[in-house]
Amino acid sequence: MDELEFRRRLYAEPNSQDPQVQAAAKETAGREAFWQELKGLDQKIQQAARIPVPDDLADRLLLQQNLTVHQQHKRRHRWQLAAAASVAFTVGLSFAIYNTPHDDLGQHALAHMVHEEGFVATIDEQISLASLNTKLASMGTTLQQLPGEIFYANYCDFRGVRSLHVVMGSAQGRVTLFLIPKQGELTLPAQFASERYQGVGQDLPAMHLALVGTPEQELQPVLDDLSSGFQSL
Amino acid sequence: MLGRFGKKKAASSVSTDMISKQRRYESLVRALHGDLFRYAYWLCHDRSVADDLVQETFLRAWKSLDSLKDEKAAKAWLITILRRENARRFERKRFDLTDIDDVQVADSTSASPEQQVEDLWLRQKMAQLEPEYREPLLLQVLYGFSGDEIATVLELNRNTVMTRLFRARNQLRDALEIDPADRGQRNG
Repeated sequence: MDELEFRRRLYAEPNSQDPQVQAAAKETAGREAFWQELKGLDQKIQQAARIPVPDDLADRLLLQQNLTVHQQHKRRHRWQLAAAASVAFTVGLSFAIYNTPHDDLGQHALAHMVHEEGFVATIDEQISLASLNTKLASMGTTLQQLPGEIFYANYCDFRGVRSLHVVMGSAQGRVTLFLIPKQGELTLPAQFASERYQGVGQDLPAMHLALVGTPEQELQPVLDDLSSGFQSL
Repeated sequence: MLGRFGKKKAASSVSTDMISKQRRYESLVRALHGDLFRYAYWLCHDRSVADDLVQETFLRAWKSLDSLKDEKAAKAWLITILRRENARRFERKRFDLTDIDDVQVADSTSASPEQQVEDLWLRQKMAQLEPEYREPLLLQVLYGFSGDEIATVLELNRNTVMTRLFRARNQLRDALEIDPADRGQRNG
């Protein structure tokens, strides 16, 4: 290894462990001394490079990281809270939608009551059982007896289904009976109510019976009486 | 309520993960912040900028600590982040270049007064080195990196690195030989 190469190598790497360099150092007198001198220089450089580090740097770095983590936590908490809130909102909304009066015959009957309450409360057409049965015959049924007098009986429209609207007296006072032939997919709940009226429902083979009255009236016994009186033609 | 139970379990495993990550990070900071600060200082010649750079670097390191598989590679990894942060600093803002003589060079408190003077002087010489010479020199001197390792960190080939190391020392040595008289004058 010539002098130039040797020096280049040492300048580049004063602490070289390369056997070639080690051997070359022994080739010529003075090379070892040069190497030592260069190592001395390197120590000085090393010392000069080691500028003092702020004492608290490590602690500040850890603090900064702790704060970051804390903030991330907070952000995540906020996110979780938002997620939970939106889930709760969705649940609440779907409950509300589920519970809103939707289309069943019970609600329809109640709406009918509200719509006609003005004249139904006072009307008395003194319908006989025979004329009622005439009307019932078109629905394929007759009624054997009545719980009381019949004030009104006429056809009405239940969502496109021709039904019978009967206002009658009973042990519980004036009640309204709807007879709705089974058609379509509308169902009648066993019980339904609004603020002003309540009703009970019953399904016969060919039609629904809905009895509506005020909340104070005991409707179920009246309905049971009525439904047992029907005879299909 | 169901959510609560689930959360508790998940949270506990997350927190053990966090604790071990926290420990790794802490040992990383304690072991490597000193040399990283020095390296940053030699990149920017400003203690407070170096401080910021190190903070940024460790913050990024924390965020991607999971990607650090090999603890031995941590030094090179941190330096790579630091250099990127430093480069970003220049993207954000062009600094007016100051003459290095005007820049206050860090003072040492540990060495004897005579040593101090020599350090101070050598530091000035090092600060005057071209950055492309200074960086490999620091990696070798501060971190004890081999030529290959330096080449990897600086994305250069090994021959270039060796040439730059040679030139860096050569310039420092020349400066040392030329300047002794000047040295006394400047620091006396």
